[in-house]
Amino acid sequence: MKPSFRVVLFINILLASAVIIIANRVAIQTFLPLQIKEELKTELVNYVDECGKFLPDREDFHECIQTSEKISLLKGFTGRYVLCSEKNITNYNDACDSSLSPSIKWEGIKSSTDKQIQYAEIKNGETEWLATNFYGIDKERTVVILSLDDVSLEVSRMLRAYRDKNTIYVLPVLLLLVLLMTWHVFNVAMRPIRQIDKSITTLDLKTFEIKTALVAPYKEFMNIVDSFEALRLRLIQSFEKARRFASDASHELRTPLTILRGNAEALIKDLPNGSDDQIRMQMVISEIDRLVTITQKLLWLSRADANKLKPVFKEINLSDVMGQWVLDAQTFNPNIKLTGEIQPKVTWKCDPDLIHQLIGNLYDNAVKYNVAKAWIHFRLTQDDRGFYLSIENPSSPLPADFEKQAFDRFYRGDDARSRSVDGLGLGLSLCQEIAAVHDAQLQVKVLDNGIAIFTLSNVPIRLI
Amino acid sequence: MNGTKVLLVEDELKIAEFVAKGLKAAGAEVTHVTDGATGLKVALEDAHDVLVLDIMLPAMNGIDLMRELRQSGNLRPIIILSAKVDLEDRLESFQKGANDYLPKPFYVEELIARIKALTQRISSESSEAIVYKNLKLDLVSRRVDWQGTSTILSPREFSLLGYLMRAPGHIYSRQQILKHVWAIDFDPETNVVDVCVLRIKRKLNRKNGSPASPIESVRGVGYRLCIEELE
Repeated sequence: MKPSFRVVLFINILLASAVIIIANRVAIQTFLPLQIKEELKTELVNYVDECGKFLPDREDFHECIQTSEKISLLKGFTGRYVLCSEKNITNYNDACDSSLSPSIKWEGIKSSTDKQIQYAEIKNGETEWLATNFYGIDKERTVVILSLDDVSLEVSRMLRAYRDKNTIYVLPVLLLLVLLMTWHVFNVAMRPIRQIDKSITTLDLKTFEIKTALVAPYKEFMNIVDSFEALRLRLIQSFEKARRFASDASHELRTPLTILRGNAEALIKDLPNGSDDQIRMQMVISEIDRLVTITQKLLWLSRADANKLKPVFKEINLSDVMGQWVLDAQTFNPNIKLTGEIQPKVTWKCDPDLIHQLIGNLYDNAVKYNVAKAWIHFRLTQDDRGFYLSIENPSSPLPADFEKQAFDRFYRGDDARSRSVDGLGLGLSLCQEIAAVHDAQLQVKVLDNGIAIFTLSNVPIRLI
Repeated sequence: MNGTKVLLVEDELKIAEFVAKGLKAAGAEVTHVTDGATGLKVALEDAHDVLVLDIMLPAMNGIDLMRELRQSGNLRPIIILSAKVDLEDRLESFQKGANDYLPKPFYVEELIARIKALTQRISSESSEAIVYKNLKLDLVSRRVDWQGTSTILSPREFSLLGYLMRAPGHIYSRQQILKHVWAIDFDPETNVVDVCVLRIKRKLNRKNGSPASPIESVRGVGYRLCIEELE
């Protein structure tokens, strides 16, 4: 089974979306911490600037920080900062040594309180600290240091929690969006293809004419349309050549056949009645007549190919026609048991001559391929959809592909059997063309017991 | 068709040869020309009863010839012989003034029968019955009269006898009869023609008890209307 383009498109869009989401997350995870770090610097400086006035009173400072951090990025800052003082060191750690060391290169920031606040990034072992140098009222230098790793970790955890929580709600919406996007993209992508497809499906397989002009909707489709158009023109040319060949050959053969038959006819008249020569000449005429029939059939087929098999429609009583066929068939072949099941008053608007030819061909087939001249059954039924005309006969063993190929030109079924039967394998093919110009269907079904049933119907046939 | 003047315009000599032979044998006077221009000239100059015309001709094709002829006021009957069998070709021929159209290959006897039909139509002869010597076939009632016997034929029998009467003496093959009477152009491996002929013979013999019959069976060839018996 062929995969659905819609499904493939959906999977691809889903994959593309997944890649975008992952890339986004990776980007966030890579760049956000850096950004957070920058923000932290600013905030820390602001805190110290804001709350530094309480130093060296650590309690007040702490309270100030606690109040501020509630609305700040620096959540959890309270428990994490360290105050390093030259005089009074609380929760002093190694980083204080570094931050208080004269070798630290401070950068200055002009704070809101017009005090010079400095900050620096210091590294102690594996841990990074952000230090803010603050000079209190008593000119005592206090350095507030904050472990960036700690805060980053905390912020990241918060972000992750937020992100995951978000994902749970966002993912279904995202999937729905992907579905809608797929549907939309599919429609947009398919629109020009559908347009081309619509044109191609109006292609008449006999004349290769298209009823809707084939136009490339976008420039990307010009190649495909041009290629198709070139292919169509080539097909028209070669098909026209083949058709004309059959038609010309059929016409050209008529003159020599006329001469042959005319002379043979004249000879028959000249020869003594009932003489062997006359009989032989009659055999020649019979063969000429066969050739005439073949050229006629070829001509009809070439006309059918060129859509020139124009039926002249007339309402006929199909029941009467079939009834006459059963009667005639009974007189034609008294050895064959003929049965008919003809529903009365079945009418059909058709070309009576063409349909006569069609039924005649089917009957001829039923006689020729009848097993031991056993029986032929004619059936004509009608339901509210249409009529079903069938001719059944027990047939000699038929090849497995018979049902599919019976209507192919020059197909003659089993060679060994058909060699003994006249014909070129054009009759059934012609029958199907006749059915086609009537918008009718002709099908054959071979039952397991070897009974062949040819059915003509003006509605789609579903054979049992 | 004794003395019927036929102008045959046909460039294919081999066809013209046997057509002329057949027409002459049937009693017609045949003038044969091989191209359209000459054909038109002869047709305008000489009085002929019927023009038998091919379409594909050198110098001027049959359709143009016919148009010129009709424009000049010549209304003599024209029968077209053509290898073109498409409906459009036939219709065009009729539109341009043809009275009949016979597709190739044709039987000379059929051509003769059609010429007869056309000339009879022109001379307003009664077409209610076909009469050949003492055999009379009524076209309306399907009644046949022969040697004091009068009987009604079935449609098939009537069609068969009428077909044979179109060209007395000409032998029609079973296939030809099948095609004309039963309108089938395949061989259904049947003896229905023989059966039908037998029925006609029986009907005609029933009353006078004579074994003679207007239909003669020609062994291995077919049937013909017996000209000798009817003398």
